[in-house]
Amino acid sequence: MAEWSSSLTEFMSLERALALTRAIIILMVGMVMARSVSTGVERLAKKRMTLQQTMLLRKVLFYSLTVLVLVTVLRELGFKLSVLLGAAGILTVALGFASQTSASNLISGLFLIVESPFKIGDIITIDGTTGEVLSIDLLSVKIRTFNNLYVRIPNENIIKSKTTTLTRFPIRRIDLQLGVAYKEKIARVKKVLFKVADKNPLCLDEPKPLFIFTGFGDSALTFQFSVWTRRENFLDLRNMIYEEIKVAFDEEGIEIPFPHRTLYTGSITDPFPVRVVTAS
Amino acid sequence: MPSKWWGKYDVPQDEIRKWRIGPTTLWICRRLSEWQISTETNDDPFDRSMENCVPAQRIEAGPEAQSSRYGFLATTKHIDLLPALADRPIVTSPETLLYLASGEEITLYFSTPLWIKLRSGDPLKELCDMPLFKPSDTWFGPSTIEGEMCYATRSSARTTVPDLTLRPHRAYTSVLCRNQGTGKLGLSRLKVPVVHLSLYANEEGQLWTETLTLNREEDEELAAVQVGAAPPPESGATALVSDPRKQMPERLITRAFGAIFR
Repeated sequence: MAEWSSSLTEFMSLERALALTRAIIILMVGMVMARSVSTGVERLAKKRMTLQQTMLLRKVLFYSLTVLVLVTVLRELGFKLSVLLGAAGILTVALGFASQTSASNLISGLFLIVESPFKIGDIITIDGTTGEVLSIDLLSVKIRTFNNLYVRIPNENIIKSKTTTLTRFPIRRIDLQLGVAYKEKIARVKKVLFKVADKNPLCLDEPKPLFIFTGFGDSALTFQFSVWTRRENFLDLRNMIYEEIKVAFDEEGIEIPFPHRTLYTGSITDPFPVRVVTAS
Repeated sequence: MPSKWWGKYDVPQDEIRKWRIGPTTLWICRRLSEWQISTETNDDPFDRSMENCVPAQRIEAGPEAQSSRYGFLATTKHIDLLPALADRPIVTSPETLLYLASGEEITLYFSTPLWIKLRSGDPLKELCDMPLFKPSDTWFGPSTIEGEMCYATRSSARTTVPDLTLRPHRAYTSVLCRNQGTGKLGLSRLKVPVVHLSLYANEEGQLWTETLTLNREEDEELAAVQVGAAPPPESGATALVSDPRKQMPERLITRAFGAIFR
């Protein structure tokens, strides 16, 4: 007990106490400065960079300054940094082997931020999942699906897969696949469809709607009618225009057919013989 | 028929007044602490009807009417109706495709639908800002990626002075297109930045904007825009009714001429 007490006393000599005090002050002031500088730079960068780029800049700056502060504190406390760096090097190699996937995600995240195929708030589709981008982090992207599910997608998957950004451009095209009975005149159908598009306030005048005759189907003349709209109105128009086309076709007497099958018994169509069987 | 529909009107409390401005019917009802506004628009963009501040027993709007309410601590008896131009550029097309040779110029006339601003209170506070006939949206730009959202006017751009019969819900604009480039300029579509134009009324109550000049200097689609000091002489004697939505910058170069959309 006396030995322990004297060791403690020796340790807590005035010089060491002063060094410890200095280290604590450096740590406190350093952390405050690191936070202030990183926040200040984030505010300045907001005007010129995207949200995720400023977030990344703030984090990189903050952690770099924190490391500097910690190194200074350790030096102040008398630790030999060369020994620490040596140990850190060995640890890094071990960690590197263990965290290959995370490293890949991290590098992919940096590429994503630089390339910016989408930003926070965009709607994207990846691997069959569609949703709004909530955040673009270093290891993954978080999205919220339309049925309010939270999906985490590793950055590596995004770099390797096809990603569709639905909200990249201000206007979108809706492709309607339609069919009318063979007895209908294509020119008349086209006229009716263009009139529907013209009357609908959500359809853009330009680019003009597109009518493409796609073929003579089994039961109908098939065609594609494409209309453009602002991306915000995409869903509304998609629902509206089918109904309006149906109403217009009904008013004009244009038939939308269902599949027909005609049975022949050979070259001459005789009635099929029918025998009624009663339960005995 | 009255010559103009804009101005300051008195609406006694708990009473309804009705306006008919072209295709739009407007009902304004004043309560102690709110204004109730209802509008209904028919399908005819060239309807010329006009009625001002007619007392109405009730709001006879159909199911597709739009209604809104604006709360005040206590409403004042005045309501101010002010015409305005569209809040986006307008795209118009000549009746048939028109080419301008290098060094040539031509004046085109077209009409655009008006917006109406309702204001009340002391000082005046804006209640709403809505179109009297909502034009179609259209995209104007070289591709579906690059461009801007505009309105398309149903009125074709004509080379002759328009029929000057009063159209209460539309304003006329005369645009001088000048081709100072080296090649010929095809005018299939024209984008007019009406957000920078003011509204003037002549003695008959027809609204006009200042003259506009679009100088095509080098590039096929870009034009230097110049706004004149007043409407053209054919509009008659005019007085300023409302200011532009946005002040014209010192020099405005904008994509104004659209080739066939690709």
